[in-house]
Amino acid sequence: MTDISVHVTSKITSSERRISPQWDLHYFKSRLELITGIQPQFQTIQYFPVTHSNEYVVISDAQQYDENRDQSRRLVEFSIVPNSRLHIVDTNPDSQLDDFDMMDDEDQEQAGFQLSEEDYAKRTDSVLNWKQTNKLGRFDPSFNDVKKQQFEENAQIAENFKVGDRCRTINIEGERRGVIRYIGKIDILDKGENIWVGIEFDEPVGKNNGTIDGVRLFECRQNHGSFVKPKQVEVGDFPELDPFDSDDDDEL
Amino acid sequence: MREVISINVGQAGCQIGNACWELYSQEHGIRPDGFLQEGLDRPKGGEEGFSTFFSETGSGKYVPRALYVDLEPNVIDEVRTGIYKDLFHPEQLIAGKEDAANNYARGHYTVGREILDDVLDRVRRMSDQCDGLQGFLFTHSLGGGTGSGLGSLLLEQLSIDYGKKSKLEFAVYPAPQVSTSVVEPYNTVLTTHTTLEHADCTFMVDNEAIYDMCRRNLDISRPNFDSLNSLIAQVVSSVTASLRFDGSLNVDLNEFQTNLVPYPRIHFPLVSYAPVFSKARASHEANSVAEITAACFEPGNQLVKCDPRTGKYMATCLLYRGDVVTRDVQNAVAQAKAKKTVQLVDWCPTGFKIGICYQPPTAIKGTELAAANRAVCMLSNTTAIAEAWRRIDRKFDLMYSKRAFVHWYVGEGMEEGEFTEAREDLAALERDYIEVGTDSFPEEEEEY
Repeated sequence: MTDISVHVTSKITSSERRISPQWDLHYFKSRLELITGIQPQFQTIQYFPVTHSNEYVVISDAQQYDENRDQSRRLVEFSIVPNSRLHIVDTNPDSQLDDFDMMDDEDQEQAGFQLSEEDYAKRTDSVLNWKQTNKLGRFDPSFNDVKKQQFEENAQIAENFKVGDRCRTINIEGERRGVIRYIGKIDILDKGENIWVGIEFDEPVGKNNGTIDGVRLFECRQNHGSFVKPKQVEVGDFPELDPFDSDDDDEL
Repeated sequence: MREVISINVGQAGCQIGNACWELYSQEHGIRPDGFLQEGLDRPKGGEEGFSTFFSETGSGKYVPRALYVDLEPNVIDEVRTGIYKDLFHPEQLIAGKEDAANNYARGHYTVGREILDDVLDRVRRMSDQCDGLQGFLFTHSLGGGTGSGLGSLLLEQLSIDYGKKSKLEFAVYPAPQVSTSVVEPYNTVLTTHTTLEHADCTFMVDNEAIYDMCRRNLDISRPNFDSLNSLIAQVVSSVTASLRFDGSLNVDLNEFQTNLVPYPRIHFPLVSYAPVFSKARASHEANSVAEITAACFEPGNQLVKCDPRTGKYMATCLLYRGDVVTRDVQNAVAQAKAKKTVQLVDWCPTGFKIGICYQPPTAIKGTELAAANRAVCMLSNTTAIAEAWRRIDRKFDLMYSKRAFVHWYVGEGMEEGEFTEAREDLAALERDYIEVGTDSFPEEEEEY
């Protein structure tokens, strides 16, 4: 008798498995334990002959668990058909298996194993070590020069702006207009690395209300405020756009 | 000659191997008995290309340079009795008597160790038949017992015996939602730790991603292993096509590494494949070079579920096959690079490497995937794939914090310390990916 392919499922596992009709039920359960983590005496096996139907028969009930009887029964008795499904229910009241199911990712972010900065830095076979040794990225002196140059370019542009100026900013999504409300470094955002321009938009097309992580930099309605780099901002005579002006292609 | 020996380990590895060799045989015009199809006087692919994967016996019969290894006999018995039974020499099929029971420790230490010498011996004999062995191509799963345990043991040994020869893997990686077994996270973390320094490049495949592709694009309502594996085989075939067929722009195993792997540990490129559509839909698909290239940047065409928009690209290989001209490829690549969602690491050189093989994909009888006149397989080393490690590491932690099932491993002679050591290594790997993604020049278009 050849093996048949069946789907074995439990609350936290699902897989396609090959089973042999000659196996006895005891042996089969010992294999199911390795797949599902459920001990034989707590396994109730439901047999679903047709995979997309909810009809099943219980071929072994944990409440009537009897190791000797299981040893004398062969799988062939149950006439399991290929591609059917066997669902294993865990009847252990103290089972921990549910805890191993991935729940909300966020909760567990901190719970698991943590490798400290120091321990990572000690490793010789790491990307960090490679970058340090070969002077790559922030370990490359010229990397910081480029950063500095970008900063200076932005700072120069920002010198021509003042709070209260009408302005616009254009990106792939289109043009947005508003008033400059803030110019300067923002420690909480990037440790004061860059100069930022805070804009109050005419429409609710921004990201915030003038605060970053609870720190207020200017005052405006929710979603009317945003902070962008000076290079993105153009100051000039940019009156409020009429959102209903259908001639304006940019608004489409 | 630049021969490549394929080694398929464990149930998943052997079954994927079957699907691959069925496809390779058809692509090269080899019948299931190893002889040439009627009307051919030599195998397709050119002498140089073809002989990387097949050897020729004096009698005009062709034999795959492949080894099947499993700890239990059933899957290999099926190869021995299946329609490809005459393709393989009995020495190429190695089966034990007792399986690894989903346990890395059994595959690596106890049961697996028993057949190790036998396997290495056959590898040795096979490599003796090669003029210039290029390397090894592994297929195995990471979550089971044999593929993870014995697979990593073999990789370790081959490192010792064959030094610098390339070792590439196709590895079935656990699906994000449902585990195939309760200890899958343990096996995956343990085997990844062991092979991290031995494998040169690992292409991961997650069954859930393939399953979704089968359902969505191939209209298979309930895909089984056969449907999954035949799709995986098409992808493996695309990756290996440039090795097996003489063509204009070829990429060899070494080039994969040099181009895709900037640092040895960061060797898990994300694989995408297009087009994937069923025979019923084939006539409605335009399938231009631009379209299939763009499709590779769609999450639905990836073999591992993760979001590349959140990551940075270190390197990309686009392997085209079929009716493709260089100019179309250059345009498609330029378009891809211009995408806002494609962010490159900017502290190390990043490149788009192109391979073109003129042999179009072959549709296999009885499978749903339609024949296309062209296809592309994209291998991209993106930091987004670290998501896959994060998921499995968290699952590992949930169980290990309670020491659940650890006794199954200790019972096979493994020390608990290996769990912590492996987990720490994987944590470092997560850090490595973060480190790759940092140190960008400030984005001018940032907005807060």
